[in-house]
Order: sequence, then C-alpha cells, then structure tokens
Amino acid sequence: MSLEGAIAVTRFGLGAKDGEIKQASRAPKDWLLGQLRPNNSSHAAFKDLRPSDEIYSFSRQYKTARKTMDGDALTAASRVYGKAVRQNFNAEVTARSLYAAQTDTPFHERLTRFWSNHFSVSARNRNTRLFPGAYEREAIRPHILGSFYELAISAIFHPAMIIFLDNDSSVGPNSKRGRKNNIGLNENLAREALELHTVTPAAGYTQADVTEFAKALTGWRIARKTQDSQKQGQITFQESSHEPGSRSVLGKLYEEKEAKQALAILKDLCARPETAQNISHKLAMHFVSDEPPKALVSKLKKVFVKTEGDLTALYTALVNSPLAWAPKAQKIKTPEELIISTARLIGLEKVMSERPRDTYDSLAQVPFTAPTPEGWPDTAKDWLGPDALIKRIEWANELASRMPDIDGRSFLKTALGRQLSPQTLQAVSRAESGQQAFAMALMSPEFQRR
Amino acid sequence: MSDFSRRQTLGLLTGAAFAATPKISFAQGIEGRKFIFIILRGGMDGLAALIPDDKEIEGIRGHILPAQNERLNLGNGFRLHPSFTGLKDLYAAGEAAFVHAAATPYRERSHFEAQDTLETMSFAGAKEGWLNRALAAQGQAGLAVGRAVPLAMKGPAPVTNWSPPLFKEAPDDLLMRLSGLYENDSLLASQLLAAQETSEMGMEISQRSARRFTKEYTIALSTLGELMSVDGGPGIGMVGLDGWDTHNGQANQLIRNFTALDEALIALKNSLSGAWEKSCVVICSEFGRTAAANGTRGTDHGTGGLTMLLGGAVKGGKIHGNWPGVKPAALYKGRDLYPANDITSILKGVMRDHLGIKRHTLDTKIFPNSGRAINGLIRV
Repeated sequence: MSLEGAIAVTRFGLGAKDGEIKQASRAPKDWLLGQLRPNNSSHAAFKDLRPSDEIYSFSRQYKTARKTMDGDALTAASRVYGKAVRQNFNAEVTARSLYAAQTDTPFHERLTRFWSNHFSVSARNRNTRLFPGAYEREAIRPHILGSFYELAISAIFHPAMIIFLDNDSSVGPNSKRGRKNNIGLNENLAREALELHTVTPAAGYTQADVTEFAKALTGWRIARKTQDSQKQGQITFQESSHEPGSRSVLGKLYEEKEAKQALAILKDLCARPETAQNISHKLAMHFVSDEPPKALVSKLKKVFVKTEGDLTALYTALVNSPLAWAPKAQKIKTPEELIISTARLIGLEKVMSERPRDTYDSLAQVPFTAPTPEGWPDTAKDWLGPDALIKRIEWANELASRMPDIDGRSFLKTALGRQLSPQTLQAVSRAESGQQAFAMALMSPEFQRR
Repeated sequence: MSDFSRRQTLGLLTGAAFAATPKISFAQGIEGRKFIFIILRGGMDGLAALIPDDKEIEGIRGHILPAQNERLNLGNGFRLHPSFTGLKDLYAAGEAAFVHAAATPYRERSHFEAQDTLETMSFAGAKEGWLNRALAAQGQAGLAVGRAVPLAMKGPAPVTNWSPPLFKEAPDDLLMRLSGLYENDSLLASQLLAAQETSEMGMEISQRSARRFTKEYTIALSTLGELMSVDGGPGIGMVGLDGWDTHNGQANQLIRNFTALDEALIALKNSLSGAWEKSCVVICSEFGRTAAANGTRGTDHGTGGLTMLLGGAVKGGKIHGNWPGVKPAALYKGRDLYPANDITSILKGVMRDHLGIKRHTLDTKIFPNSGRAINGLIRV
C-alpha cells in the first residue's frame, strides 16, 4: 500500500471501502483517470426514482385539483401530496447515499457532486422540493466529462433550475404575454448564472447586464402541456413570453433571436477568463486546500482556456499535478463527506437512522437542501466551528454506542492506509473499548480530513 | 496568544470562568450593557415590515401588502405590518425605534457580497467581521447562537458559538482522549477547547427553551438571551435568521416570517429579563427589496431597507433618520427605496453611545472610511 494510493482514495475519492487503498496503490493516477468514463447511471439504486417531467406532471395535477376542492377534501389531498413529497425526498436521499457508499468509481461520483453543488438546485424552495434528485441524474450526471458550456446548458436550462431560479415565471414586459397580462421580468436566474455559475463579479458586470441577460432568458420555461414532440414538464421555448429585440451583455451586442439569444450569451460567458478562473479555483479548493496553491489554479486555468473548457482535460491536469498530492491532508470533510466515508467503511445501513435525512440533519447538511443558490460551502471555517466539532463527536459516540461488537482498531488501516499516524494508532489502540476506539478512529485528525 | 486572551478563550461562557475574566471598567457606567446583532438573511422587505403612508405605495405594490385598515398605525406616517403586534407594543413603550431606507455602502444586488459588506463593513473578500473588531476593542468575548460563527464575529477576538445538542452528550473520557489526539492539529484542538467550555450551560437552557417553544427563531433568540443574561455572561451576541428572500408570492411568506420574528423578539426580551433594560438589539438585513412588486407577486433584490433597534437602552417610540419617499423620481435607479441612511452610521452611533467605544477607535479600527455616527439612538 502506498501513501499515494491512500490519497487517491480519500482526497479524490469518497473514502476507503475495504481493500480499496490496496487496489488504488498499484497505480494511483491510473486508478483515478480510469474513472473518467461515461458512467452507468442506471445503477440499481436509482431505478425506481421519477424523472423530472413526471414529477412536474404530478405536482401540476395536484395544484390543478386543489383549485376545485375545499374543506376536508382539500385537507386530505394536501396530506396525500405532502406524504408523497416526503417519500420522494427520502427515496432520493437514500438512493444517492447508497450509490456513493457502494460505487467503484468514487472519483467520478465526487466530481458529479461537485458540479451538482456548483449548479445548485435546492429542495428548500418549495417549488423544487421534488426535483433535485432528478435534476442531478438528468442535468449533471451525464454531462460532467464534456465541455463546461455543455454542462452549463444542461444545468441552467433544466426544468428544475428554471423553476428554482424563477425563470419559469419571468416574462418579457414587451412580449405578447407580458403586454397582455401586465406581467414582467424576474432576474434571479440571470443574476445567479452570472455571479455564481460563470464569470462572478470579477467580470465587472452591471445591473444593466443582469437585466439584459434576464430579458434574453425570457421564454425559456416548462411545457405546460404535451403537444407535438414536447412532453409536459420538459423545457421549452415560448416565443410569446420572450422579450423582443437584440440584447447587449458585457459590451457585446447579441442580434440572435429568440431561443438562440440566451444560448449565445451563455456561450460567451463560459468562454471568459473569469469563468476559467472561477472554475479552476473552485475545483482546486474542493480537492486540495481551502487556500489552494496559486500555481495549481493557474495551471488549471490555462488548461481550461486552451481546451475551451474541456472538463476531462481539466480533471486530468488536476490529477497529474504534483501540487494536488501534498502528503498532509488539508481539507476538513464536510458532514456529508464524513457520513459517506463512514458508510463506505462499515456499510450504509449501519450509519443511517430510520429516516436517512435525520442522520444528515444531525450534522447540519441534508443532501439536496443547500441554503442558497451558491450551494454548500466548502471550507473548514464553514464546517468546523466549535459547536460543529462537538456535534461530530456526539454523532461518532452515538454511532459507536449502537454497535456493541465493533472494534475501531480494525478499521484504521482500511480507512487510512499509510495516512495513519503513529499517534492516532497509539491513541486508538489504548481506547478503553472497541466502541470508544471506533469513535476515536472516526474523530481522528486523519479521518476528519481528506 | 497573550495570557489575557487565552484566559478568555478558556473561560468562555462557563459562568465562573466569565467571572474570572478581568472586568473592563467603563468610565460612563456602561458595565452590564448588552448588544445583540441580528441579521435577517436573504433581504428582508422593509417596505412590507414598516409601510409608509405615502400614497404612491398602493400603486406600485398595494396588491402584495396587507389591507390599509389592518396595518398597525404608528401615527407618524408609517404603519407596521399587522403581524408585528409585539413590536408595536415595544414601540409604544419607547423600547423600539426604526431607521427606514437604511443600507450599507454596498450598491449591487448579490446576497453574498451584500452580507459580506454588512458583516465586515470593509472591502469585499475581507475575512474579519466588524463585530469581532468591536469585541477586540472591548476586550470581550462574543457569543453566536447557531451552527456556525457568522462572518461578522469572525476574527482574532475570542468568539464561541453554540447550538442545541442532538444526541446524548459525548462522555468526558472520550473528549479528554480526543484532546490528546488533537495535540498536533491546531484547528481541531482549538475548536474542541472552545466547544467544551460552552456546552454545559447552553444545553440546560436550550432544553428549557425547546420545551417552551417550537419555532426556530424563538429558540435561537431566547437561548441567546438566557446565555447573555447570566451573571458575567457575554455582553455581545449575534444570531442570523434565514428565510427572507421573497421573490414570489411574498404576502403569505411574510405573514409567517414576521409573526415568527415578532414572537422571537418578545421571547428575547423575556429571556434577557433584567438585562433588557440595558440592552440594545439591532436588526438589519443585507439589503431591502425593490419598491414595486415584480411580475410574480414578490419583490427582487433592492437597496434601502429597514433597520430596527430594540431594548431598554434604545431611545424608542421614534423613527430616526431621513425618509426619501417612494415617488418614482425618489427611487434609487428608478427601482429601489433610496438608501437615505447609512447602516454603518447607525452601528457607529450604537457602538459609541451604548458600548462607550471611543470615536477614534470607531473611525480607525472598527468602521474605517465610514461616515458620521447617527446621534440620539441610545438613552444616555
């Protein structure tokens, strides 16, 4: 077993399954790069989950039916709907957890999660409560190996994002529908696409740029009915909602019409150096350190620019950079990473309480519920306040206390390989019981970091 | 770390340890005063909370506001949202004041940058909060209730955070062994130390709060109040309350939020008990929202918002500062309530008159490059 093997599995992967460090140690970089292939997303874990158009139809049926009901019938209907929403959410969280706990391509899965968080759609918004799992499967999972622009299109123009950031209800004030119904713009999607998804404020855009981009995005909404080739619940372009005219964003005039307009703007945004900087920095920060080496960021940025945002080239450059392999782990695991890495070690069923969301909630990170469109934060200062550390210790202690036969000592080598320090080995070996040893192993500096 | 600050870190919040922290002597008898900073995250709609009688308001957003006859009339050209019954009573008792059309110097419309500005009152990307600088100036330790230390309180001055426990407490023996294991990891070691000091007392209080209240805002504020009001408890506390970004169908959402906030503020007053008399609570949001409703019966990110000041130390029953009105020509960039009052100046006035921080310290260390403090916010 090599140190690089352990780093590949813990820093780039999702934490060690039994024997995984040994397997990766043979050729750690090849083990990682070999995972950059289209993935079998029809994994058994996902097979019974609903696609987004079905979800849309289901909630639309409910909302339409509501209008005709009152009194007890309404109460009963909303109870049934509420139950379906909760069941769907729990099924999604369970499937996502199970897949991560078992997958043999954990680097691929970490990248999927990175992008799902970058283009965050949260179930905290009550209009998107049912969507985030389907969104990840449809908009993110199949697109993480191509170009950044293709990924950005599939994410930003997915029904879940269109609903989440209010583009479904945004209407050009001078469009046919806008004039007729006196309804107007909602600039939420335009603003977040600029600020978070692509160029960031570093590009120096103004309110006028946001408004212009918002106008260009009008018309992109959800198909209300199935007709022609369009299924209800899929993304569509509705000309009668689109603000007429050409647009100007960041000093460039866009004379494209209708559906092509927003795509042309997005394409240019994706190609800007500020986007290359944003993505390169974020990726390095996610994998290597809260304050990643400048040389690594600029290397990634060069690759991004040169390959026009080829994501596989970007990941390859990351894996091939010696700066990503510093022996000492810098990143503190997020709560979700801690839970998944523990599940890979001892099995998901042992880690999860009856409702999986409760397990995550105890450490303040329930999947699919990022607090803002920015997604979950990714640094130690966000995740390791004094109180958060105590919660982790209480959680580890609780977990150990539910497993009378566990012996923490036996997991150390499996989990950490050559990352295991003599101090941790000694301290865990001297624990007063196998259960205490297990809690200590989970709370060791090496297991808390990656 | 000097002995002085180290003792504070160690002593955070266990009553006895706080008492052992050297007391700062306040020339103007400021000892015992409490300052609480509450951020309503997401951009609270100030024009829905404190509704001006200006006739233009009905035209631009009347359909998303409560009916005129339901609004709580303050008799000075403004009416509170009907959900703020507790706040109305505080105002009548002279324990609540408002500054409308208030904003930080930030003029763009990003939540994250705006919150960063409100919390650092410094350049974008700054890593230290102004409240931490105020703590340093006071030689005090701060307390945040919530799962994370908010940016406003981050910095070199000692701060701890606390939230209710979810499982049984970890046994002392495990904590002791882990503190040995963390000897070579300074981050984990320091966080564990800070946490151990806080957990015992906080837990007892929150169990009581959780029995009495079910609402998130109320549990946070009442626990904060109780932790601060114990003998030798912290003088400066902070909470962030989420959920104020109301782009769509905001009328019902705000009824829920305002009702919850109103209940929480009264619970805060009750939990501070005697300390309320010497307290100033300042409530801000990162920005206000557009003056007019948007196309989806909500409002978008704007500029001027509402700042509230509550507590026995506040010169209440009054609306401070300037009111720009909501005529089309008076709006900022034709869309937002004009930022007629600077939140920095409000905070500066409170820091000076309530906590006795010297003007020079305020101008150079806590709010560099800021305007003049607003006078008369605090009963002196």
